[in-house]
Amino acid sequence: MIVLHPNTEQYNALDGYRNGNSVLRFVKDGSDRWIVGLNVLTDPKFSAIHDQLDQLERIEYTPIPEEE
Amino acid sequence: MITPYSNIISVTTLGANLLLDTYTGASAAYSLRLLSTSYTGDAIEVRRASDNATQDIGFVNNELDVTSLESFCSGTNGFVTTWYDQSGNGRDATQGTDVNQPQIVSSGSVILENGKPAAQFDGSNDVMTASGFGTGSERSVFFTMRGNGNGTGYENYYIFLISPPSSTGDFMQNYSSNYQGQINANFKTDTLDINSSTAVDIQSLLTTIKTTSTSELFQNSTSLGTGSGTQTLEDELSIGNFSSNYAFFKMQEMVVYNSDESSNRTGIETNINDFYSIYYVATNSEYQDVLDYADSQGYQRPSYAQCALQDALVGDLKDAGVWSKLDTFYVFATDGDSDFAGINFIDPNNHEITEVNSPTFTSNVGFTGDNLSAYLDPSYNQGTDGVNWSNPNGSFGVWVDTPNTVNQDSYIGDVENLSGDYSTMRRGNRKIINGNSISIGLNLSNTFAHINVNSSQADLWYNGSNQASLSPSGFVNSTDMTFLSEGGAGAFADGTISIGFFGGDLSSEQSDFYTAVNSYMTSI
Repeated sequence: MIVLHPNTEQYNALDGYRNGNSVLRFVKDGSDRWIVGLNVLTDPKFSAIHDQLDQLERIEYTPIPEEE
Repeated sequence: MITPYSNIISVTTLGANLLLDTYTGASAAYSLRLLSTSYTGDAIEVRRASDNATQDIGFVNNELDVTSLESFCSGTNGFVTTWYDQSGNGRDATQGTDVNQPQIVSSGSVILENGKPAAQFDGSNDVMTASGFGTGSERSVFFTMRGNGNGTGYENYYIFLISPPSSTGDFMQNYSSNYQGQINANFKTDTLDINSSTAVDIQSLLTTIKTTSTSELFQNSTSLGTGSGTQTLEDELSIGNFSSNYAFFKMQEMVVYNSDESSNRTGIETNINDFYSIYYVATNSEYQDVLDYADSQGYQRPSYAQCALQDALVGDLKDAGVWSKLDTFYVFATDGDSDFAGINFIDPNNHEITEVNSPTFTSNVGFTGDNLSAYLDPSYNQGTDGVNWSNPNGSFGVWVDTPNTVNQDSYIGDVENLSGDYSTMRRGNRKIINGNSISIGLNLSNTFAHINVNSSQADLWYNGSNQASLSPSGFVNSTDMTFLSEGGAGAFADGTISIGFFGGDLSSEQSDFYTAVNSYMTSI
């Protein structure tokens, strides 16, 4: 599964972006990397930052280990 | 036990309370329903395209005689040549040029808007005109319309001016430059102008009232703004056109008073709304609060019919004693927009849903996660925000439309119990309730799942049927609750949820709770 991964500068610029009731907030994958799903690229609420989101590195998602 | 649909509201008052019988003194009145018992004329004169013959069309049971209209226009198109004035003043709106006439019949079938006949102005060259309105300084216009697209130039829905199409003088008009994002009341005197970012791409009752010194524009009985200033008004009316601009819209009614009808406004609007079912007025004040909040934020309301169902759901929850025990209640399954779906029905001003990382919203179904990062944040911490939820007593639940595909993924997270374990509602069969392992997961479609813990017992119900009862350790720690993830930190769902709630101990009401929710979900 491909997801978007920001570098530090991109994280600082984009994390917490809000438009109305929609927010972008990076989460950690199973390899402890900040990621966000590809849904954000087509969400019209994020159209103002689509160009910036499109610049994020595309990486293979590492699933989060299941809790006991 | 409550009865499904017990709070369905009847809103049909067809044929009752003819508008001009109660609210007299109109300067002109154009409608596709009968407005006055003293009016004995017809509604419209229609030209059929097949041979250009014309015929007057009147009323049956106070509504447009659609049978005669469709018979006259059998298999062809029909166009309005005259829209008769029902006020008794003879200010008929007319159009003598064939290509400029608005359409009322398409291929033998009457054009409708929300189930009622409507005249379609094509945004290209359609216009009707009338005169004799005088040049006083007061005017009130009640206008039932719906924008259908952007026409040619500005959308000049109507304008009172010196002489159509372009000698303006002391004009007064309703216009838009984008029917999906704007409606304005516009005057010669700029300080009277009211500019609104409200769309008219939905059926709308636009009320414009100009007094000797003020102006105000309403959409569906909600004020969009006010102005102040002085000017007189003009004698002639153009519907659908100013200069080279042509509006693309449907019209069902326009009633004009050369007076300040502020004191009668709500009565006139109610009469119009009762007939056309344009905007829903709730029976339950709690649901009206939801609609009012949505209007104030510019959210798209559900359809009129669905508003009635949601109003009934609120009534059913109140009757069942559920409503007063809830802290939050969300109806994700709606034909309103995603913002409306995120309103907390219990308190619209608090705990509104934030859509994090773009969960997918599907009309009439709800929100779907992406199994990666998307979730819904209600900004609700049961320990610090709970009103009815008072540790260790509390409850939470969802209507699952489509289950998650991964066992560990959560519909709701997180709340901690005495053991320090998270209690989540998830697909898999571990830690689904109260930290204890039970062999029941939630992998069923169309299931209302409700977990309840009180001082004596923890219970899990699916569709009103008990799945497990355990000795409780109780909810204790304060945690931020989320939908479609385990607390926003992981175990993101890919299923779809249609209803969500947090509340107090609902163990005694759970059966009626399910009945009420199920009635709604099976009706949409």
